[in-house]
Amino acid sequence: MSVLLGITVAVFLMLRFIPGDPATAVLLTMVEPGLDSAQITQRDIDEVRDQMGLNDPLPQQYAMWLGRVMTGNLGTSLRSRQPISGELAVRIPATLKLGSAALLVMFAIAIPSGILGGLYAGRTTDHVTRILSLIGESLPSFFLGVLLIYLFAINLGWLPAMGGRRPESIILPAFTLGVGIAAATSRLLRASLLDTLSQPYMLMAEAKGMKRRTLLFRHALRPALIPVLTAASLVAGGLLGGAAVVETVFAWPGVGRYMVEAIAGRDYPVIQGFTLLMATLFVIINFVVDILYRLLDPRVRVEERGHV
Amino acid sequence: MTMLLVEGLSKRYRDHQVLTEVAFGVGRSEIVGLVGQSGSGKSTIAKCILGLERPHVGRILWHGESLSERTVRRRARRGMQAVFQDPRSSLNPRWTVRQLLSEPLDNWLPAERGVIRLARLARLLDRVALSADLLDRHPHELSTGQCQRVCIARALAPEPDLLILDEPLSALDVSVQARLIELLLDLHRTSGISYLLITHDFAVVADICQRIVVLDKGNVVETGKVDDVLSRPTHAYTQALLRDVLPMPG
Repeated sequence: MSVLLGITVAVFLMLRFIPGDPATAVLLTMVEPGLDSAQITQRDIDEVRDQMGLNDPLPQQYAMWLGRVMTGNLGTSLRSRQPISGELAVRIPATLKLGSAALLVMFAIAIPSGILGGLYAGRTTDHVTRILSLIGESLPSFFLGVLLIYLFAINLGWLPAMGGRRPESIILPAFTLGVGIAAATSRLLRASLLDTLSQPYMLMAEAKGMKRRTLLFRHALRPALIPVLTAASLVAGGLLGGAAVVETVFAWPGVGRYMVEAIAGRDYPVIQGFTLLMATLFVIINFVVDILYRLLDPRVRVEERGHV
Repeated sequence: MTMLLVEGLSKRYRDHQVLTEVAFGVGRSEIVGLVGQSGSGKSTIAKCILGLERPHVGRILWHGESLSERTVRRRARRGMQAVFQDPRSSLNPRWTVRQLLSEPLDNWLPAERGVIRLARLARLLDRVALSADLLDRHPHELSTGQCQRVCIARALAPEPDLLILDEPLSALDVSVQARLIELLLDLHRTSGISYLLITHDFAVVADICQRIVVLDKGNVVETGKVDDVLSRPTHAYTQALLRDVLPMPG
């Protein structure tokens, strides 16, 4: 809770301390096309500042803003004049859908390749998975996206290139997003697995004649997954925050693309609302990961009991 | 009949010769100490016996049959168990004592369940002087000495004929060492189990072992009854080792 409160303070102050006056920014967006911004007078600015409550003391402004945020009111977009919460609510499901699909792609690629790399370290299988990981990590998502569009949408005509209306529209953007993060996760799992497999209790199990596969699934995989979980939680935060590049390449109607448009249009309230939402999401994801840690490692439970 | 027989065992890591024609045996109900300084090749011998390393030359016989045969190896895996130096890292930190002790039992007695299994687990813990209350604890909730007792209980689970003890006391403080030595001797007296005790500590060898094999740079330099070797060492290396750790008579 204290983290969330800290985030609200940071996000609130962010808008107050960025260069330029928010009232002027609002007035600039209200200028009719063709009219000169020089026509804006100091009186207009003062009036808007008063309407926006910018003349009140900062703590009072924060309290009022927080009160609105708590009721789900993130303000109004300067460009569309629509409530930001409404605009985000329309786009979040698309982003959640894409993020979850990308995570699935990531796990589907990273876990088998990481396990193969760890089990057959130094052998051909390991070299192949490492080279593929390197390629996957080195390919910029905009390039891979365009490549996939060219191959599967334009040349083969199997999948739609853009938008999110058809169910199969998600395949290309999810794959583009998933491949990049799978490469790093796979290498992390490989390293973590190698470390776990070198533990004396693994040697002990091997000395008892346990087969490599049994050893892997009974002893090694669970501890090896802990760093992967940490990485996945960071990645998941980023994915839910909207993969701006991929959403733009595939014209995916998610929050990432919305954010890119807001930044381009200097739509400060949208940026503020989006930042707050993403920071909250990160806190929630970290909380969920903490719970998962406890399931994966009993020592975490005891350490916590010890600290109480 | 010799239960475990090591014959002409040689092992090399790249250009480094670790073991050279090592030969010794462990008989039924016998406690043999394999002694040498760090790097003398003691643990490599243990790994070769346990099948974790493959010797370049030589053979290891279990009840007269070569361990290179798969069926013999399978039998030996039940008949010979190991306890390693660091008890904490020898136990999967995510498993409870119940899971740790059940794992070998699941291999050898897969049909055993419920009350009978629970009774067996409690008996195993009792043999190493631990309470059955510890069954649901994780290794990090136990002392190092308790962890080593759990390791011994786990090794005893398949009712082996031989325990390979690779520096089992070096991670423990002196008072815990003394209690574990007592425990090992007690287990030997009651069940007739054999030990191959790998250590650099002559004092421990003097307390537990009947026979001793001294190893220097991968070569067996002296072997014999403990009392004979400790009181009248013939090899200069053994004499030097003993001078460092035990007051020489006269």
